[in-house]
Amino acid sequence: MWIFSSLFLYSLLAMSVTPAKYELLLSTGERNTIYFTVKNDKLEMMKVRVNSKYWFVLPENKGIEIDSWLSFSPKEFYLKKGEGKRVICEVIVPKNASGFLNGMLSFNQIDSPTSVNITISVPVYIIIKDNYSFDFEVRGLKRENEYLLVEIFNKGNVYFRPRGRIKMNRERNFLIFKKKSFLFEKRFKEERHIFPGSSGYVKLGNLGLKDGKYEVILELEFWGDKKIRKKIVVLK
Amino acid sequence: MIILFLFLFFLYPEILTIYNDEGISGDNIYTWNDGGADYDGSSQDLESVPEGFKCFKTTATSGSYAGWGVFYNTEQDFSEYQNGDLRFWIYSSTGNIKVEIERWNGETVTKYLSDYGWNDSYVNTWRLFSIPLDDFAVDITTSVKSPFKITVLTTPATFYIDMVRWAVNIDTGSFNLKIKRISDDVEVSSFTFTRVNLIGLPTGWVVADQYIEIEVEPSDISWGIQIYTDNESPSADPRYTGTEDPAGLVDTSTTTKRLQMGWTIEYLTHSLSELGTGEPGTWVNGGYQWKYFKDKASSDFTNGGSYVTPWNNEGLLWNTWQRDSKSPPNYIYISADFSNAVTPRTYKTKIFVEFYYQ
Repeated sequence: MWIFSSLFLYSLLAMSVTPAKYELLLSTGERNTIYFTVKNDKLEMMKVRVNSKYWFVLPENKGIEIDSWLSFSPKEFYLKKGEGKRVICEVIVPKNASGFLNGMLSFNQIDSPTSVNITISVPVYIIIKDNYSFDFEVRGLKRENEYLLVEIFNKGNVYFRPRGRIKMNRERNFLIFKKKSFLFEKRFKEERHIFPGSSGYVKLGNLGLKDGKYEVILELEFWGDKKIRKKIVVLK
Repeated sequence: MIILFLFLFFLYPEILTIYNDEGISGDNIYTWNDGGADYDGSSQDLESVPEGFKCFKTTATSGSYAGWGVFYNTEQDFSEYQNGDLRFWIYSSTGNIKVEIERWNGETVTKYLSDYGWNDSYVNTWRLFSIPLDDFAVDITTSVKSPFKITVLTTPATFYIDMVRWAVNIDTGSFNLKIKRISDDVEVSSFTFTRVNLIGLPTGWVVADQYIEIEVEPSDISWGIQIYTDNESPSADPRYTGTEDPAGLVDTSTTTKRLQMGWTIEYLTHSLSELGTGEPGTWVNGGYQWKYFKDKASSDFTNGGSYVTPWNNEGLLWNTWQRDSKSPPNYIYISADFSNAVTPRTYKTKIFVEFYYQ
């Protein structure tokens, strides 16, 4: 018989961690203290180990060890049923950090010698106040299930969650001139982030747009920073 | 030991999903308003929703109130949820909203979001509310006609609702996992591949005798569960020392050898015959597609990557790139390729199941 685990005492693995994330705007050299609370929801006793790890790393930050900007304590502890423990995290922004730093604090239940390792990971995002570059471009429009998606490409060095305002005009060519007609304007707030070098989408309602040429004017906000980008796109 | 298992059984969380992408738990949805209002129970207006792709949109244009609720045609006894919470996500232009539960005799008990922390910073942002059922009434769960009614008390207003449920014995932010035997759904303590012994070597892909039952109660709307091995980690036992992709079961005596593994996530439990061989690319009968296990050191492993994330806020990965929203709990099945296995040998690994926020 092929067995790929040892026996363990509990088959139920359960814990919770709050809050779900931290997003901080800090200058290089600046320090901050944050807290996570891990709780044993079910077991009579649980041993937890805390680790940090990289999640998204900007190419220009590749030489920066996570331990150099994110430290925490305690690293290992027991929790009785219903008990919660506060883990204190110290953040120090390295002098050579660019754009943003993104690490995970992972809470690992380690006392059950099981073939399954249960982990809860919560992210810490540090936006480097001195040198982050918030920049994007409108890549295009596409239809999906009758909804209109605006593709946004992150060309800066910091992640962002698309929040702001969009305005669209229809552009039509006549014999000797172009005519622009206003279609709509709306505010939006998306929760999913777009990492540098990748695309994300803003979903608009069912606008029933016909194929044609449109002007998209997108205004995004990021920590009080506002930027507007325009693009003429063709919807097919 | 028996006492321990019974104890765990009683503690296991229960979630009654009242509204999500799959639909409703009750028989009907009723709406009400005293002016103009529009309702869309499958709205996809928002790109980010807490669960799946849809939510319930209410637009109140005139009058003084507008709302909707889920109703049963017969009296419901949900007393197992006593001491639990009513939880839901809301994205609203106003906090002037009441939430109600209606007893079978027509009595309605009311709570207001303003009493549960609503403030102006919540406007047009997804927020999770968790209202103890005891706050409505100690015995509110015993005779239920409507487990959830929600009404905006001002117009014009627009609000969206998602992932409404009653939950007991599971905190928000919790991640729970159990290992169970496929044959009888009993909780067990290890994974085995006894079918290899029955079939005899050489054989090909074989499904493990157990599965993982997973329940999650996220406190943020962007989350996922990723699954992988970490066989090249200094703490791995055994630690893979070969040159191939390290994902899979490692030979404990010749650590340069390993057997590939596969996984699928399912919203129903399945018999071994329904699960098939477990070979990646094949399909579970009445279920989803098998995928290859990845290792943290696999060249194509990316933290949070779709292929290693069986379940996230958009749903379960049913093929290799598309998702389908399903209520918890959900189930992960595991397979391995014994084509190159030799006997007598022991093959081991540790499976990492990681719940993460983004």
